[in-house]
Parts: sequence; C-alpha cells; structure tokens
Amino acid sequence: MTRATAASAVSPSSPSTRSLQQRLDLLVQLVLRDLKVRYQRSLIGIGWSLLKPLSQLIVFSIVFTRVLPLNIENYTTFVFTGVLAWTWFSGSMTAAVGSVTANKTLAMRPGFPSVLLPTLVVASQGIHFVLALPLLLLCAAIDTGSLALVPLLALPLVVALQALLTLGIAYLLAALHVYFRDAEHLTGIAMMLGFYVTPVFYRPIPAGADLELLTTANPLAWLLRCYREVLVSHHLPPAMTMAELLAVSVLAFGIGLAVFRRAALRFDEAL
Amino acid sequence: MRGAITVSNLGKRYRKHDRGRPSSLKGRILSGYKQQAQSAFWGVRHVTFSVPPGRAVGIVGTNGAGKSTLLRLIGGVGLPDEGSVTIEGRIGALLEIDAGLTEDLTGRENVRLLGVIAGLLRSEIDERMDAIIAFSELATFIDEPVRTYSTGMRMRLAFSVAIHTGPDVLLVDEVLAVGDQAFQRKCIARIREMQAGGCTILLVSHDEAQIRTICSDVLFMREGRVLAYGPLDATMARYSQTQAPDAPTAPAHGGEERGARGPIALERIAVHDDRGRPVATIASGEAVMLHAQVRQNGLALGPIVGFAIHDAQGTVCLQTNTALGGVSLGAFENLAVSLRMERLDLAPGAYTVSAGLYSGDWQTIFDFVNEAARFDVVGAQVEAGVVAPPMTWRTGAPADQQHAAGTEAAE
Repeated sequence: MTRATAASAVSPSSPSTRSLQQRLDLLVQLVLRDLKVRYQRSLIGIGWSLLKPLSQLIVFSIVFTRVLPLNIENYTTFVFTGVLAWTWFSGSMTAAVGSVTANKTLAMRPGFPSVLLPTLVVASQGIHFVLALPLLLLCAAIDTGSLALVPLLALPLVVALQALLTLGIAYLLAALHVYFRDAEHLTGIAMMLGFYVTPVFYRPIPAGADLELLTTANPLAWLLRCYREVLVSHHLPPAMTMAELLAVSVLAFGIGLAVFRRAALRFDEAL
Repeated sequence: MRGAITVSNLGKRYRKHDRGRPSSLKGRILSGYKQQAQSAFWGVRHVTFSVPPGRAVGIVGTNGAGKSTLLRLIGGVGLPDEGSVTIEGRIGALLEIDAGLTEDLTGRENVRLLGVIAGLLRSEIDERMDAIIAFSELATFIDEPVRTYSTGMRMRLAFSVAIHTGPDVLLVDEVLAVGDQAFQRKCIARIREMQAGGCTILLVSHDEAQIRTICSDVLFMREGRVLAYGPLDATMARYSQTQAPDAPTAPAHGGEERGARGPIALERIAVHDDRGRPVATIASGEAVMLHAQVRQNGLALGPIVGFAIHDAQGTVCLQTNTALGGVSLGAFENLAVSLRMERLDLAPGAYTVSAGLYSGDWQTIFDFVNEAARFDVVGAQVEAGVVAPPMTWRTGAPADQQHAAGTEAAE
C-alpha cells in the first residue's frame, strides 16, 4: 500500500503573494460573516460583547472590595484586565472546539483551508478584546491616575503572545473534537475550572506558598501578570516572564498547527 | 497543462467505527479499541483515469458507487490511502446543495463570501459582482437575506458564483437538478461555454439527458471501482444494461432496445421526492412521486398506466392506475405520467416499483416493467409489517375505572 500525499499534489504549487492575499481576504470575510451574523439583528450590536465582561467587572469590584475585601490596589483595573484577557481566551476555546464540526460543509470543500475555521474564531474573539481595550485603558487611567507610555508599547507584544498561545490550543481542540466529541464538554469544564485556577480576580499565589504551581506554572497567569505590570503598575512586563511566554506560545502554536494539519487530512472520514 | 486531471490507482478506505457514530468517551471505555481494525471498506479503489484539459466527463453509477467520494478526493478533500490525484490549475466545485450559504447574510454578502471561499480575491469579486448577479437573475432579491430565498434561488446564487470564479476544473455533484428548467438550460449552456474555453468538467448526475447534453466521455462506477470509461454512447449503453433495475432514475430498458419492441412503451420510470428530485431513500410519511413516460406513435387512444409497489417479500403494498384515479390519457406521442402520494406511510424496508401500460379496455398489455425502480424507506417505529401510519401511544387509567371514579365524585 502506498500512501501518496495527494494533498500536496493538489494544493497550489507554492505560497505566492496572491495566495497569501487570498487567505487573508478569506479570513477577513469569514470574520465579517461571524460578526454580522452575531450582531446585525440585535439592538446594540457588538455592544453586547462588552456587557458580559462589564457586568462581571461590576460584580467582582463590589464583592471583592466591599463584601470580601481582598485589599488589592486598583482592584477595578486589576480585575478588568483579568476578566477581558480571560474572556478572549475562554471564549475562543469554547467556540473553537466545535469550529470544524459545526462547519462541515466548509471543511469538506475542495480548496478550503480548514485551519481557518479555528483561526477565525480566535480572530473574532480577539476583535472583541481589542474593541474593549480602549475602555480598559480609560479605566486604568482613571483608577490608577495615570498611564505610562513606554510600558504601553509592550502591550501589542503581550496581545500577540496571547493570540499565538490561544491559536495553538484552539487548533488542538478543534482537531480533537472531530474524532472525539466529548472534547466539547471537557473544554467547557476546563474553562470553568481554569477561571478559578488562574488568578483572574484574586492575587497571584506567591512563590513558596501553598498551591503556588497554579500561578507559577500557568501560562495564563504569566499573561495576566504581564498585562497588569503594564496597566496597573506602569512597568514594562518582566523580561523573564515574557521569554517564558514566548517559548510556550510558539511551542503551543507550532504543535497545534502541525497536529491540526495532520488531522485535517482525514477529517473527511470522521465528519 | 492547466485543467488536466490524472488519477492513478486511487483508493480511499473508510473505517466503519468512524461512520455514523461519533466516538464518545462512554463508547471508548465500554468497547475499548477492539473493533478498530476489522471493519473497513473501500469507498473507492483501483481508480485510474486521466482527463485531458477541456473535456467534460460524466460520472455515473448507483448510489454508493463512490462517485461523490471520488469527486471529493479529486478536489483534494481527504487523504487517499492509495494512489494519487494530480490536478493542474484551480478547482471550482459545486458539491452541496446549500453550497455554504449563510442564512442571515444578504445575497450580495453571500456572493462575496462564496467568492473568497472559491479562491478569489475580494477585489476580483467586486469586479465580477454585476456579472454574477445578472447571471443569477436575482437582482431584485440580492440585498435580501438568503434565509428568505427558495432552494432554487440559493442554487442559482451558488452556481452563478461558481462559474464566475474562472476555474480550470469544475466539479459538479448532482446539484444541477435543482432550479427551474429555464435556469437549468442556462447553466448547461454556460458549462458548455466554459468547456469550450478550456475548462475541464466532471459531472456526477443521475440524469442521463443532462450527461448526454454536457459530456463527451463517461466514467461508470460500481462499488468503488471503475467499470467503464470511454466515449459517451458506448459507456452509457453499458451503464444502462448493467444497472437498469438498480437505480430509481434508470430508464426502464436501454433506449434502442425499447424502440424495437413495440409502438407504445413505458420509459424512465423513477421515484422522485416532493421537489421532483430523484431519490433512493424516503423517510416514512414523506410525500413521494412515481414517474413514468409513455412514448407511442399516436395509435393507441386512452391507454391506462398503472403503478405497483412491492416490498422485499413480494407483497403488493399498493397497486393503482390512471383509470381508478379518473384520469384519461387521450391521444399523444410523448406523455409524462406521475402519481403523487401525499404521504407514503410504509414501514422501513426495501421496496420496488413496477409499472404497466394497458389498452383502455384492459384487453392488451402494451408494456410491463417489473421492478423498474427501487427505493428504501427509513424511519418510523415499526417492529414488523408493511404500514407505518402516524402513531401515538397513550397511557392512563382504564376507561371503566375512570367512569367509576366519575360516578363516585358525582355522588
């Protein structure tokens, strides 16, 4: 039995500028579709995407400053940062896991790069995140009294790292779900637990303390730390944490993409 | 050369456990990995052929012969287990009726979306937008959401985009059956035009007439293998011979053979769904149409056409005719006769359709085609038997006790 890699024979010869442009156009059009379908028939449109984190923010800032005071400085900014970044991550995961299975027609279409399906989910959730950023900056400016310009320049880099990390895991989950439908439910539970394991609304667990690994070995906790250094403490994110993040994100992205590509060759059998 | 297709020793195997039942945690734990290796079947195997650029090849065969699998593999969907496919140039495909339309977007937005999905740049779509809309004849609806479109309109939109993407190879699976006759003709004309311009066409269809109009060559598949590949007439003749009783849309007999048999004959006996599309599987309780065409030289006046449905054991489930239905056929040369059933409440199983053609006084049997078409009925909660009417179970207190309770209460 010869296993011919027919896929490589079929796909366009080499990635030229046209095909790159084409992929980009495709992604843009798919993200637009996603946003339009979700919001065009609703009253306040994309404003809905802000209401969930905002309402969470209100609850947390009331509960953990007045009812059970955590005594964290600038808690509103602290928790807003956590909630927004976490929402992007968990929203992407929850939607990405079924992105291939829910778009069977597209995934089975000749010439359609199915890797765009999870990518588009992460991008579309990312747009929500980016649209909320001005609010976060405003909140930080009011809450902490100032914004430092130089650390802010590091912000795009942190966002890029989160995108990379999120994409990598999204690819893994989407590919897994095609063969293993329980992945969806497991993801839901994992996101629920992850929310409490990651220091979204509480202070990161310091090194040496009980359960320190929940913070120190958690790339999402590293991410939050970087965001908060910039927005709450007005410092550049710690170089060591950024380096670790970079390593983990690139690794996750690489593995996720490779696994997805490999699995995609056989999606037709399981879809 | 652009548009050339080379398929060599292509094989695709499906594992049984992958089909139908998605793997779940419970299933894995309960069954372990035992069943993995044993049950696999080849969707297509040992398929070798090549198509020079600019040719139109029709792919025929019964349902499950591997036609769609072949088309997908050629389109680069899925990894073959054996052999290879090589395509030169860009592929355009119309493989699904819904063609990836998004309900909540307008026609225009869907054109943009389908265009990029088909491999165009956004700028290229904007250039072709007017031509696409004009071809689809949907100008007045183009800014309405697609959810308001009929099936035919959707198909028109999808088809218009597909032929304006300038593919080198166009793969079409069964979708031309949708839409009205006029638009179908327009599509076929356009396909021939593209072909003349050097585009290679692969067309899967159960409609022999369509294949005859478009294709110059035919690939005849059965059980995942290629039985014949060659010029239209020779291959179609083999196809008609071998599978006449198998496919619901097959002509009753090979065309030539029939002509010699008599002045009046039944042709093209088929089972269609409510929208007039050939079907092989029907859900119990769905509407069904039985079709036949009567061809004669105009001599027999007022003949009677009858249909019968038999189950796998040979039991007559239904037998009826045009005389009972109060329909008079009059004088004609070619006449299509169809029997529409609002609901076909048959139990799940395999059924055959036979058709007969009789003189108006029942004295002469002009033609009788036994098992001219087959279809399967699925669904319905029936353990055994022939009929499956709409059913509801109820439980409650027995009627006499209810009555007793009622009297007590009254006292």
